[in-house]
Amino acid sequence: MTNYLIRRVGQMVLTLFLIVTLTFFLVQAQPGDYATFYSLNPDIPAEAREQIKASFGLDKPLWQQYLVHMKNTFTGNFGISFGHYPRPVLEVLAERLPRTVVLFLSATAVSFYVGFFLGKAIAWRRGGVLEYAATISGATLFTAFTPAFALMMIWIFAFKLGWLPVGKFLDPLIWRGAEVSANHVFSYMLATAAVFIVFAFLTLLAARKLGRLGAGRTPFLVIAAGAAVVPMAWAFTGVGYLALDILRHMILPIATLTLISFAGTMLLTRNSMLETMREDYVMAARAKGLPEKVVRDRHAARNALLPVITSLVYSLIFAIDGSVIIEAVFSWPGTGMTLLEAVRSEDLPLVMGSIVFIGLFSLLAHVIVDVLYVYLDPRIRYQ
Amino acid sequence: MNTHQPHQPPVAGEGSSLFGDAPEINLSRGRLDLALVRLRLAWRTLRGGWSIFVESRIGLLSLAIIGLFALMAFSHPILMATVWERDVYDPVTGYAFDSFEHPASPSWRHPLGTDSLGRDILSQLLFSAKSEFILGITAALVTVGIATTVGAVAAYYGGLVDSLLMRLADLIIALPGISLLIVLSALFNLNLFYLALIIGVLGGFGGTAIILKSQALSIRVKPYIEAARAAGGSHFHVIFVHIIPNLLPLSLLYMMFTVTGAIFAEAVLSFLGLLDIRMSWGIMIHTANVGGYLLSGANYWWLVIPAGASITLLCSAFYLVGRALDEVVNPRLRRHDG
Amino acid sequence: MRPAGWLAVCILTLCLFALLGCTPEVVREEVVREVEVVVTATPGPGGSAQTGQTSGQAPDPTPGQQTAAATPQPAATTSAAPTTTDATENVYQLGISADMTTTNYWAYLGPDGTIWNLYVLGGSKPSLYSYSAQRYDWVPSLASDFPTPLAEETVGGETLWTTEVPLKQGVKWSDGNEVTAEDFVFTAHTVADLELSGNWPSIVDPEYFDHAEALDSHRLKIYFKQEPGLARWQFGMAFMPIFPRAYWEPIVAEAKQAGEIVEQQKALYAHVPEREPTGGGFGFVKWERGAFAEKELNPDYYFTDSVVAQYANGAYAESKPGAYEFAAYGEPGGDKTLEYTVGPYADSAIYSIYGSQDATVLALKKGDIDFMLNPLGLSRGLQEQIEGEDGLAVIENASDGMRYLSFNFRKEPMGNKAFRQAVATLIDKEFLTSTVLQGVALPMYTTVPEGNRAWYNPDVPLIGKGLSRGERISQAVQLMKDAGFTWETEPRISEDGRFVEQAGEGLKMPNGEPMPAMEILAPSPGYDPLRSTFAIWIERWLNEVGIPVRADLTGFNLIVDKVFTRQDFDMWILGWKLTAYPDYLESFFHSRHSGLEGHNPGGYNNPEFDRLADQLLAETDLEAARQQVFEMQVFLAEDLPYVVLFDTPLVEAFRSGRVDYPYTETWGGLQSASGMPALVHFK
Repeated sequence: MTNYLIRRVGQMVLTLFLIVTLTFFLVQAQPGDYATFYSLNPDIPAEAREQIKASFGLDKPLWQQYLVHMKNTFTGNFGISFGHYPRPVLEVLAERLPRTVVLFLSATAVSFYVGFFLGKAIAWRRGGVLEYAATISGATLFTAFTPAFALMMIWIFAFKLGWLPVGKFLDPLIWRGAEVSANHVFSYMLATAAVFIVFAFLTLLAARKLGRLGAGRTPFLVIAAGAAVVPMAWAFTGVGYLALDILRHMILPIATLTLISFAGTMLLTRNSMLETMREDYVMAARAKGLPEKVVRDRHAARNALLPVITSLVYSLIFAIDGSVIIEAVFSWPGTGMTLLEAVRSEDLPLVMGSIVFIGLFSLLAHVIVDVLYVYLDPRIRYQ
Repeated sequence: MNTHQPHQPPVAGEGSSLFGDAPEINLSRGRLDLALVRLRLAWRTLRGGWSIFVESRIGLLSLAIIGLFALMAFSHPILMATVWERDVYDPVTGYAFDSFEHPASPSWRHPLGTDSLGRDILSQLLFSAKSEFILGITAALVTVGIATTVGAVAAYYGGLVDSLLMRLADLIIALPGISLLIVLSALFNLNLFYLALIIGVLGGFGGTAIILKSQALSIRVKPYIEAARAAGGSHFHVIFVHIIPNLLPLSLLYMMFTVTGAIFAEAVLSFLGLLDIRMSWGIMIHTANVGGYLLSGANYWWLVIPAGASITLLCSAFYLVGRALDEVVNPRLRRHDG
Repeated sequence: MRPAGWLAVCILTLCLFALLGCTPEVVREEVVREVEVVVTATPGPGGSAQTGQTSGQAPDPTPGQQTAAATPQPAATTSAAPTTTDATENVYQLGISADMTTTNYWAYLGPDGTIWNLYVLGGSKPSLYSYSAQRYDWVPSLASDFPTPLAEETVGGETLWTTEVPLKQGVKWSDGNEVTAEDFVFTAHTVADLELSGNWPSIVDPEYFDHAEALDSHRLKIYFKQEPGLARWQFGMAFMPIFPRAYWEPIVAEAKQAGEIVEQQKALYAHVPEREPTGGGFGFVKWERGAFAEKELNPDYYFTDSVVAQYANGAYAESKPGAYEFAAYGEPGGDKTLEYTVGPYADSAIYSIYGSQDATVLALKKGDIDFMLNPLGLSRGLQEQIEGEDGLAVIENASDGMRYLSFNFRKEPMGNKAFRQAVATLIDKEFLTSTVLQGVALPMYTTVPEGNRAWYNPDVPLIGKGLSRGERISQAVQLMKDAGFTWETEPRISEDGRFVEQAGEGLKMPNGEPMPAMEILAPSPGYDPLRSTFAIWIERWLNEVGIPVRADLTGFNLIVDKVFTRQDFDMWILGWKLTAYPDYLESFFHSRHSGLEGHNPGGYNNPEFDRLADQLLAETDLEAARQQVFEMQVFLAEDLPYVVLFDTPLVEAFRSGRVDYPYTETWGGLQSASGMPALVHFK
């Protein structure tokens, strides 16, 4: 396992290297540079323009700029953003990352769960009305034109019905007096989720170790109890109302993302279920006369989950990568919007920084899935 | 290594594949027979596949939808050449002189109304259908062409070649595709063809290659491959005559998914105003958006719904055909054993 | 095993939502309590020199033009607002479409010059002079009167040009310190010492500015190395934003220790101001990145309660009871065209960021914001949606932009005046703007927009205006024939004169060579549907007469590269955002700017015009400059280095059920005055 991880990390570094190189030369190959935008203002004298170029390092030969960028990237210093001069790129990204992560992790989790649940159901009842309805509506939503669809969701739920806010991740009237920044709250939320997941995981692990004692509903009750503690803990921090405000703003984007993306997981689960259902042990379980639900959930679904987990990594990458549109429509300034903004203004360091971050994120997702795989399928051992 | 090369230059897909091929003139009689046998076999497989495919009602319906769009694509040049005068109905420079209020609502002359610049929506819709097909199919052919070759080569040679190609595929999977396309299209003037090429190359060396390789691995161990090698077939011959044809059904499946991806990518990039094309479904929605009509709901439905629905319909049709093909290709998904 | 992790996340989310459902009231209470604790900071009058920018590439789908130059805002010297101490707070809520990038005003005028920074930060720094509202008269702001005329003076063996400016007494920063001549001297010298770049050189031009000194706390003397024209002094340094010295001096001193000049600048730009004293109506208090920014009322704002009046006879008057009175441009009397009292009436201004125009409009309709700030205004469809909506008002103003077609003068036939006039004649701007573009664009004929009342010449020749298709073609053909162009087949027009039956063929230039095939570079429909529509129609109209052109619709960057960086092109269509003082005429058309990366990439070279432009540059008298600008407009409208095509009206909307403005008619719309936070009042 350790060897495997080391190799995987090595691969990640190589991938990053390629991504950075590719982006750098792409950005360089296109006409014009950032200083051009200043050169379009006739009131700025030529010397001043040269100075801007110099302060951005654009006056150096290409290979030198490349080396500088490489060095910066791998020392964790992405240089200074042109558009936010003189703010370091890392700072800009660090500010936006938590928002993207919180939103898209939750959305992926929800859509994954919905997709898995539905997939399980339609595989079990093949040819039913549910299958047609779910497949067609799933595929339609999956290919719905995202910006228009997202806007429609806002129009219905935020405007016509007025249930939810129109975009953004917080309400200025609630936050204007707040002592903490939104990013603090986002980090707390991430920390809470992490702690909670570890807690739930350990509970289940313990339940498994305990054997009989841990069987049945007990572990889930423990987890539910843990979940109940969370709001109480937040109530003591004094920023609970801020977190709630953020959560309120998350409902609509998460719902939209779920509707758009559950079909992928659903159809994959269906296929995977269909394959497992032909396995001898499922036949055997049925023959034994076990209740349908038990056979479905315990025997078939559990094993069908494996390939679906692999797809989780893709849905995560898909979500993060496709975040541009959702973020733009929901006014959620995360990494996707940052990338679009940077690309449009040719803010080279920020483009590189965001691509590297998005790339890093998808690489991490890969590794995590590999590890999960080992846990879920005891037959697999990485060398 | 390759001591004898029976045909040089190699004939692509000689006597093989689902699609058949014109045999080379100097082929020996025996080869021709062999090719015919193969063709017949392929035809039988095709018919078998079709009968399974037909079982999926969703798949059939989707195929019909694709056919409908193809019909639309073909009808545009015909309509332009016959009943539609260029001044009025050109999808880009046309102007509907019969009304001075644009966007005009649907009328007899303009069944889907006009856009904010006075251009006929139906004409734009039909015209774009053609572009979308060209885009989708080019991307799909490039993807599958590359992926099949890469998969077959990697599976056949194994070792260093295999791990190099597969590591490359891993790398490409890890690339944030949409973000990369955004960067590319913002920096260069991507037209439809380049977009198709880029999507095709990324897909071809990426995920699809991995899937096709695992399929190719299972073919590689089949006895007839061994036999072909023993009979003196060159590597090239074995790969292109024996492995790739057997990969084609699965390739076809992934072509469908690539088409969906490509059309969708075009629409999104056009919507963001990043592509260098004059007309497409994405551009139609972009025009509506720039004009501020995206939120107008039912008032200006013809600006958004025809284009939006076309994207969704065509994308999901290809997707669902892919799904239905999956059942043909993968017997374990079938309801009855085939 | 279940997907326990995911289940867990779901439960967690659900729990929090449940909690959310129970406690909305509590949340509100906490907010109110917190707000009371917050200390007020302070921003200011709109009168400072704001430099317009390469408007930072707004995320809007139709980014506009490159910005030409400094656009000082009209003096939003604002209105008297009795600062109510009631519980009801007046929060002025504005929507913006992109986040600001800095709160540091030095950086804003340096490398971070985005329009969004301007909207939020603008108005917090006093300036000596500013533009008046609506009319763009040049009026004193911090200065108490006009400056003394420029005089030559010999200082230490050098001949310098000097002027003296008296300052108003009793103007205070929000920390209680007086605004003095020292603040001005400090600001100007900091810019000069640190060689600040970006927009700064257009304000403090190192080739002109020598030094400044405070004769006493309220009398200022400025020394120039050479005689400054209007652009350098009256519309340059006089608009310079003045920084509070007490706050910035230690920071600047520290920055100067940072080594190389670029490092020094970086150190200054990197400073994040906290509770920086303001000289305007509001002070900056909070920036929640990516979400909103907030400014709060400056209760000590000097101009609060001052009354501004403009008269039909051109006179301008401004007074504050017990403090000052000022009048200029004639004797105040007769009809008033405008009168208002400066605020602020709002206790706070909040700028919320929305990622798309649609979302902003929904927020406006829903009541989340009172006004949306957008340099491009509202699109037609959104306008229609808001019109007729209760409690919302739509206003329309002329904008400060110009879209044009221009030529590469180095190539024939573009260097031929008759050819250019024929092209201008063939372009039916009225048809395109009113019929094809449905009034989302307005035809334009001159290089100074009509909305710029002080500088616009109403007597500019309008080539081709009001002609029918047939008349256009015959006139254009005549123009070209007179200049020696010949056709094998002349274009033939249908009898009703509405369309061309036979396109022109075999067009030859006066030198006998066939007309070369040419390309018009224009933005793609994805970037700007209006300009690409123009390009497509121009292509069609020129082809009808036999001029072989093709519209090449391509990316903005590519056009800029081909036109400005490499000068490899035939014709191009782009746009500029224009300043009120039209010295850009010199930058665009003087032959000295025709080098690579210059602003006259077409290589227009007319000694007669160069002479006019040089004169304008050196002119120090406002009235004389006006006459020259008038003359230049006429000259350009005939010589046509630019065929000015159109401009877009700026449509804006505000929540009229809640807020109101003293005036809404202004060039560039309310956004050009940053939404008038210091003038807006509440119903």
